[in-house]
Amino acid sequence: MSVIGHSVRVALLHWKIGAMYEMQYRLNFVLQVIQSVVRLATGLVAIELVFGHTGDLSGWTQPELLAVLGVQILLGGIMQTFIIPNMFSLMFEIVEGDFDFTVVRPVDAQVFASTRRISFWSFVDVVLGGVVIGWAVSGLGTSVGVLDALAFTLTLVCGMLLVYCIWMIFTTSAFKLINVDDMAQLLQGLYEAGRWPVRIYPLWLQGILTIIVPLGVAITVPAEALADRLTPGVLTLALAITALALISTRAFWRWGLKSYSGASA
Amino acid sequence: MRRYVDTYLGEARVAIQQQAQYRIPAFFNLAGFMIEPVVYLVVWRTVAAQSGPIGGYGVAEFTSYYIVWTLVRVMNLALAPGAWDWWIQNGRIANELLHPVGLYHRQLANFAGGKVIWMVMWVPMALFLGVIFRPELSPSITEGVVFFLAIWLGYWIRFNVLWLMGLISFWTTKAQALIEVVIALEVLLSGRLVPMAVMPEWVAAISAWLPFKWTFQFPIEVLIGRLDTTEVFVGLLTQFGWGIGTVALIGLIWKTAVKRFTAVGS
Repeated sequence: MSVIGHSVRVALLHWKIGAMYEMQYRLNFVLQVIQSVVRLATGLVAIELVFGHTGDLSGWTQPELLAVLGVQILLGGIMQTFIIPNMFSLMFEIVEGDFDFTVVRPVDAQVFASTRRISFWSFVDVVLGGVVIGWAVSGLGTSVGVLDALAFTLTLVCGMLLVYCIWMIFTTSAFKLINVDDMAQLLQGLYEAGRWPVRIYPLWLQGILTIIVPLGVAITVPAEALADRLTPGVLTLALAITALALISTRAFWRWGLKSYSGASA
Repeated sequence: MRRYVDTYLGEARVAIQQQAQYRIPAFFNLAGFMIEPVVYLVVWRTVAAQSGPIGGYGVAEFTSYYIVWTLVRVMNLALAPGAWDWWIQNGRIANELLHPVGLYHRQLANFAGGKVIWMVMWVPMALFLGVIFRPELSPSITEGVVFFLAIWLGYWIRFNVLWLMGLISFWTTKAQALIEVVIALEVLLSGRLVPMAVMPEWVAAISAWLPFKWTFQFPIEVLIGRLDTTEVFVGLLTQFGWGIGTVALIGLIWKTAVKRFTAVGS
């Protein structure tokens, strides 16, 4: 079996076990729904307040902003379900020295460390984000063609990969900086900034959200695809940034791994 | 009384040393908290620039409001209710309960002490935001003194409200959904998202009867000079009332809550 095939099989097995474990706690589903609905309601109130006083926000209409909100919730769901539980486990293992048990396994350590935990009920946000996106599309007034849908799917996948890369690079820094969990607030804050189109921000913040921590690209670009605002140049840039992020993440992981000396060192 | 003063000073000193030791994580953590007001600032400046002043807030007023917001945010950071889940589930609270000085006082002092370092870190961030957004702030000495009092009272109220939320963990470890609701109410009704003047009147009326507004909007409006003397005086009294009321509630619930706790290993 190829290395990639083996890694995918390991990831799927982890997710299956994680889902079975969380299925035992069905009340968590109800609680997750309440939390997700509350967060959605807060986002909707903010948009409603803005459009109670203006017809557009720097050229963005209400359904277009709703699309940005939908993508932000959906990607947030992916992040909470698949990425963050693994990243926090990894951070604590590096600090405690338990990461030894990951390195010695006969599977790629990055794949293993990135896929072994799942917060199953957080998937509610993915569904809710999808509903909001559907609602936004119905209000856009223009039909979403096949090409738009393809561009949306492609950029959304780029968004998922970018979110993973950002968290992975941040977590990998624990090999050098050790206690980085406190700094996670910065990533959470930047992710919340993605609730609004990146182009409304001043240039310095646009720069941060596009180049340094490309969460703006991850969230705004898929919404642009739906709103028929996406240009070939931006699509190419999003693909290039994603490719660069994947390569950099892998290189940074290998560099970080070299400096890990184990619990008994 | 002397014992409490010593405890508060001691805990605050420890918190200052802890925060000073981990400067880089503390700086990034704080920078994360600063993003929320910057986002609101950009959005509402854009709206005001397009549509004109809203409820007396134009571009300049929104700018001043959200820049002061960053300072108030630093000041009213308090113990997250989620910490209680971990303390109780792991039995760690047993150690805390054995301490001769109450946990409430130690945590209140600890977070107050941490603010010294956070304030030092806030200054360069505020200068950066000031250069970018150019707020028009010219508070008088009296407004500055009242603001100082109002942000500490705001911190005390917010600390108490979050503490009350945390105490729910003695009854259930599934309190996160309820906490999320309370935080959402805070975002909407405290002036954290927008000043109440931007909200519909009925929302502003409700907010006056809840504690949230007195932890965010009131101190901000004191410093940006939007309140007259009577409003300031009534506001301070209301803050004091909420502080005393929430402390009394904590005292009442704490006794019952602690009785429910069974230490690990007992």
